[in-house]
Amino acid sequence: AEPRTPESVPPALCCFSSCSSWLPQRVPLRGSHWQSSLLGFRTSLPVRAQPKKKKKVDVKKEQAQKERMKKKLKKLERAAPELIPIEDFITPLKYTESSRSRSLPDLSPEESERRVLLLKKWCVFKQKQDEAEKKAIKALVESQQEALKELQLESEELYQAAILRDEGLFPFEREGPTYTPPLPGYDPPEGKCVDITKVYTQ
Amino acid sequence: DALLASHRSYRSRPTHGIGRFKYLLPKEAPKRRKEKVQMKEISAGTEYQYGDINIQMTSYDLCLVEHFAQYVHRLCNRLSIRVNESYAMPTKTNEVLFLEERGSKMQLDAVLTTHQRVVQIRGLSSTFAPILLEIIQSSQPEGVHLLMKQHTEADFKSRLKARPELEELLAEMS
Repeated sequence: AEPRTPESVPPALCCFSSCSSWLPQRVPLRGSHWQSSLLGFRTSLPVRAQPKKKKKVDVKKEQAQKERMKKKLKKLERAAPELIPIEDFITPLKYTESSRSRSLPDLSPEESERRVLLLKKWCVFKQKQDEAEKKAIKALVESQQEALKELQLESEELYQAAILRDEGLFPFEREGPTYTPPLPGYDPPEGKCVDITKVYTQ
Repeated sequence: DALLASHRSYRSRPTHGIGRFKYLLPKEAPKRRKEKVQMKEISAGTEYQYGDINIQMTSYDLCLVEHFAQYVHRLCNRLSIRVNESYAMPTKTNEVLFLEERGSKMQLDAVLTTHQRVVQIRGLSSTFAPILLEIIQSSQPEGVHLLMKQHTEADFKSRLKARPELEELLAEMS
């Protein structure tokens, strides 16, 4: 805050010099408008408190803290991430009690005979269903291959374009069929859904 | 054991190593350490083949969704489509509350559990994809919601446990 040359002194200083007559002599005049404190050049108020804490200790402390955090981070990162346990596969303890066993009644020979014959009919039914599915798949694939062959004979360009994968196919979403369609004009009661899934943290 | 702890070997003696027997036992396989859960590479697929695709089946009914997942898995095996993984996503529990007719209190209606199974396939050819979709749709059971999408890292991360401490530290560091 050295006093500036007279050329750079703004005209405001002129009024300072003019009203300097009513100022008490004890207060030192401000050398220039750059010197913001009333004290002289390179002086400061005497402080009775502790001497100012040196910056070195702070830097060291900060560095030590940072290192500690880095160590903690490394330790956590080294631990492998775990999969969330699936509640479906954990049998609740109340089902493992021995008092839950029940004794089944004895079957008569006619009943067991009926059951075996029913089982055989079910096997045959399922086999027919499976075969029908396999036939359907085969028919679909064959007809597709035939169509592609014809297309290739027709034009090579279109065939190449048809072979390429469809980007718009995925994502594909479909709701399962329902037993009954939604009722028209049904007014459901007011309510809300609360998610109470257990949140697992590592 | 006393045998192993003994430091008196007397290698010069003819009876050295007289009590050894472990070399006679059959070699037991080394103990498998817990395998780290690591993400497998996600293939992008070529022009004529799709990469990793997730077939996600969601429903409130556990048995239906399990059996459907098994059916889809067996179907892919039969059609020689490579199945990478077949896993279950964690179950979500929802509490349904409804407002009573005469009253302001919410009453508990039911507790519903949503189950999800995922079958991950790779290398599905572009010509066969619509056929597979058709077959799966025709055998879709009631109430089972089907979703087929590309596999991403975010899908894998959703299976892992949340680590709030790690995230906190990372946020503090940066």
